[in-house]
Amino acid sequence: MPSGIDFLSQGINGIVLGLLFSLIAIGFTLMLGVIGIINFAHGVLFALGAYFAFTLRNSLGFWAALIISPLLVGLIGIIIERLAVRRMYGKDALFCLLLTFGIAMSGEELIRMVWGKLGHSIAAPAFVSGSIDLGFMLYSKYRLLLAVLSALILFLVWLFLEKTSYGAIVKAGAQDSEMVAALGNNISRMRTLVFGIGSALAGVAGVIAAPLWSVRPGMGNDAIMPAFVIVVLGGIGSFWGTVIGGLAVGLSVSLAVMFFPRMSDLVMYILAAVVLLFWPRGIMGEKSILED
Amino acid sequence: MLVVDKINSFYEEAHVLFDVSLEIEKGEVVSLLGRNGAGKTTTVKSIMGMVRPHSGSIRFKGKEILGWQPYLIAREGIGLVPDERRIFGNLTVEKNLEVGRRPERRGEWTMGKVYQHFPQLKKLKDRKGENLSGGEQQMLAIARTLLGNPDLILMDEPTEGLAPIIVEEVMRIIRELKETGITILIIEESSTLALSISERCYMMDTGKVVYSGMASELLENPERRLALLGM
Ligand SMILES: Nc1ncnc2c1ncn2[C@@H]1O[C@H](COP(=O)(O)OP(=O)(O)O)[C@@H](O)[C@H]1O
Ligand SMILES: [Mg+2]
Repeated sequence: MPSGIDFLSQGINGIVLGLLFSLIAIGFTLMLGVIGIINFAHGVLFALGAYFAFTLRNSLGFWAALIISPLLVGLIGIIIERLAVRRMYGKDALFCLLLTFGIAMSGEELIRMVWGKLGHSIAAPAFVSGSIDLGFMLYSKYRLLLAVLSALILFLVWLFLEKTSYGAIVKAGAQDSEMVAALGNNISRMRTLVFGIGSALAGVAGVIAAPLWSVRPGMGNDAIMPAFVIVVLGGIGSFWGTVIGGLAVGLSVSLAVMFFPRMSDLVMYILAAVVLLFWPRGIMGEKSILED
Repeated sequence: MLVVDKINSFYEEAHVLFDVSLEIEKGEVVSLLGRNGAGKTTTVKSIMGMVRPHSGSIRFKGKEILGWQPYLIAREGIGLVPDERRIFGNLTVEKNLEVGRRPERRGEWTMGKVYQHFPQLKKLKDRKGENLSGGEQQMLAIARTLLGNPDLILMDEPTEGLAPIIVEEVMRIIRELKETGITILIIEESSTLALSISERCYMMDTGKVVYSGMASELLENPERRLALLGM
């Protein structure tokens, strides 16, 4: 039987991981809620963020990579939206699913060609190597930094959505984009921007996750699957639903490790299935633009 | 100011507007009446670019705007107060107003002036749109459009589903707007109130304009009005 300290340390791990999962899912749910598309390429954008950081960190250092990699990924997102995804708006959602799935597959191949088939581990930056003494346990300094950065970026997303005029337009667009346009707002540009922001958020999550999970060509799956589960849990396009869903996934995975270590990957799917039985739109879900 | 000339609009294959023409002069208040399904909303959507007519012409301040995107038409100076109000329920009153703000279209309507004109909105500014009454939502829909400082406002059934006392209130506001010299097209099914504040009036039935003339003529002749409405 695990001891109280085990619970506490796995609980802390769960929250740290949960914040990272929330960060991974926030861009995905934003695109789904505001543009109404399921972006299968979210995972590969996450992987690109990690790989850019892997390349940039040696020459530029952690902080520069933390800023520049997501910007590059955001730019790639904008290009993908302009060249491909926008042609699918207003058509059957299946087209966009197939298109972004194709982008995800080719992206992963591209990563293999550029960076090789094998994975690489990335050391945590020197200033957060080692552990800190919390009194009752030693805890990895990098994990704490990861939690703080994830929470900070989530807070910035919240500030953007809730406190800026453009955030209001984005939220209104999730509800009735035709009306937003009739009031003189350029919806097409807003969608490009949201796609870019969502991509950059996937990228920054990749940068932060890299020292924890190391980089591999297939690492996108570690992001896209939890993102799906979190959207199911939290409801489409809901900020707080995403945070709660992320924490729920992080905690359930961490705590499950203590009891059924071999099944811990399965736990989030079971959780999602149970929640769906009681709340078909997720915990915080409202009627979304996918239902008419 | 606005000249709609023989437009034909469709939903998919269904032909809904047949050679619809109408004109609005600067500073006029014009009403567009017709029973449910006559094509009034489709006419408004065609002007706004939300439905693209297959033929005809729409000129606004001398420019051909048929085929323009809705946001560009709005920026050119046409404001829509849509049917069913279409308030953003997930946003507060204040944020709803912000979505309508068009700082590049300078004019007299600012947040301050809107709150001065609609004091109840100021009181409710932190309330979510979905928690407003029908009358409050209508005020908000009008105020939101005014913040774009339009030259022409299209109001699609602004009194629909409102209690009589609220209808009075909405009409008072439209009358006040009229005093400021703004150009308005009011759409209603059949309303003596709309006619009473209009100079001219159009009537539609089954996708065609069946009458155009002075509002007073129809106001003085209720039988004629009902006959034109097909009632
Ligand atoms: N989105 C739509 N798709 C198909 N037909 C529509 C749609 N909206 C309206 N119609 C049809 O077009 C006609 C005109 O409708 P509308 O312009 O809404 O009339 P009104 O506003 O005068 O009540 C009606 O026959 C209606 O059934
Ligand atoms: Mg109508």
